[in-house]
Amino acid sequence: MLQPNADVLISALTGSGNYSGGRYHAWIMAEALASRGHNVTFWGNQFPLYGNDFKDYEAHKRIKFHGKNRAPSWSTSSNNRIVIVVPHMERPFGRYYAALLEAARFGARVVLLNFESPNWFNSMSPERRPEMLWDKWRLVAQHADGILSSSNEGARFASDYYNCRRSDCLLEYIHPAINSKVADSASEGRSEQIIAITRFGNSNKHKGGLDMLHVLGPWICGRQLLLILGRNGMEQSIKMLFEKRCYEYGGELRILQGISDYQKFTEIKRSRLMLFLSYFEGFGYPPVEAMYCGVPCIAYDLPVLRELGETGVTFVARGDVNAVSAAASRILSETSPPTNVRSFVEQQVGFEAYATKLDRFLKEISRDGKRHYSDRLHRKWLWRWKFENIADYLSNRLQLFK
Amino acid sequence: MIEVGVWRGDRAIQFLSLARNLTWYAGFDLFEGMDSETFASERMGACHPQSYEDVKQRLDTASNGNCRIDLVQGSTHSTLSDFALKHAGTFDFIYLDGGHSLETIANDWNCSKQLMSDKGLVVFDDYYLNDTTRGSKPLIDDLLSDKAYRVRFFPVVEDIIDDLQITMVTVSRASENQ
Repeated sequence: MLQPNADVLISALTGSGNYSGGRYHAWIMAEALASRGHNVTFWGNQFPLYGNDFKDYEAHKRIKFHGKNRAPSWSTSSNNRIVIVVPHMERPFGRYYAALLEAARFGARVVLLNFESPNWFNSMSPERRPEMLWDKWRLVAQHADGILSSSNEGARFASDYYNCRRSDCLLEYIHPAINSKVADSASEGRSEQIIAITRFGNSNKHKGGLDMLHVLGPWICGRQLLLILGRNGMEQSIKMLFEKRCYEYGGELRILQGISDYQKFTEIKRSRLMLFLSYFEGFGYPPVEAMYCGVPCIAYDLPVLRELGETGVTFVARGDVNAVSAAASRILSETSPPTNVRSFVEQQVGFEAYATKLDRFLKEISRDGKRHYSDRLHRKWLWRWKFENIADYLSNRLQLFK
Repeated sequence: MIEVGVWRGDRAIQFLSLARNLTWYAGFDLFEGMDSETFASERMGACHPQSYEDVKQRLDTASNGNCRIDLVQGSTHSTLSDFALKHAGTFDFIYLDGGHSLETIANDWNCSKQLMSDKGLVVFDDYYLNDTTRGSKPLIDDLLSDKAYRVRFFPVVEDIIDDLQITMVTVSRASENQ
């Protein structure tokens, strides 16, 4: 059984400059499991940007961060180990096999953290992606004891996509927690700011950042549009278009990049309205965070957002920028406060509630104790680990492998 | 590219599909010519010999047609040495995963030094941290003090079946500033 002190290894590549909801979820997972007394090692490649946003959580200091390529030494001789694989899409792929080999070495249970799948992504996104980008997710799913999705919708699509899974693989979903402790501590104070948390760039078209340009209307007059972006920011030409559009309607543009959770929640709390025009989300933190802070939110109608946002989010048809603009105009002219859904959100995605659900899931995963891996499987993974490490290296180094 | 130790051709097929710009693949192996004595002395583990014809057929099927594929059967003590004389400085990538004896690895490296291009890269498989009686560790550890070459280690994993700590190593010329 998992209790009281399972050894949990969370393998997640954290080096990307851009924010990733899946990796953010992985860190919250580490905090939650540590708070339940488990020995948690977070095997990243760089300490994540948002890691310190959780420094006030009771078990934060007990999470061991391991940033080297070689697998970490697990701290105890526990027979109760779990490897949680947080998947990524592009090379390096050697890490997948290193994580699986660690599981095989210690007889650990394997969990895939699933926050999207190609059948789901391609059914929602305006731009399709080749299914092979998710091949390694399937690889892990094929050998996993559990596949944990971050939404009911995600689990529904996962059930179809990961049809290669073992018959005893547990397929579940748990909505990730928001950083409620930091949200609570962030400064209060309303302004007329309109906030949008998004990403730009060719690989982020599904985030709908450019739709924002077309929803701006006279209602921005005298108000500020705040765009919160990842560290990669936006192209100068796009920024100029936003500035021009805001200026035409008598508004202003402000941009913040790579900010902390504290800054983020302070800005959400200062805002009069949040716009969230994403076409695809694995979970969709911003609308949930807006609801927690009592800020109205207009979002495209995605089933995943309805799971928690039914009563607190104004939904419009995907891509209907006129409807967004009309809804913004209406909400901004209202004087009555928005529906208070904070207690509902807290119940659903509060840290304690999340930790309890996650603990229960992992107990179920490890109910049969140590897992046996065949020599054949071990050899196969060792072989693939070698090959992928070389391919990872060569793809950066030799033109031959570009 | 050159691969020493083709075995079933699995890795070659992967390389052929990954390296779209690959123009020449040369693979060296004993194939079915490996006798039991060599199998034991080269510590080949689970890599039981495969037939040359079977492997050739697999590789030809996997090829995109733009890449020349040569499979050379025989001991690298003679085949790779002869090949190096004819094609010195030609290859950008050489993968050494043939015999595991110290002598064979030393021979394969000596030939690779001649075969690698100025920007060439040699990857040694089978660097065992906890076994110096076989594998590439003794040779690589000597190379670490050779200023002519740059050595880079991959991460280490544990082979629980053979109780080995394994990594791989890349070697390039120190003058190649990458």
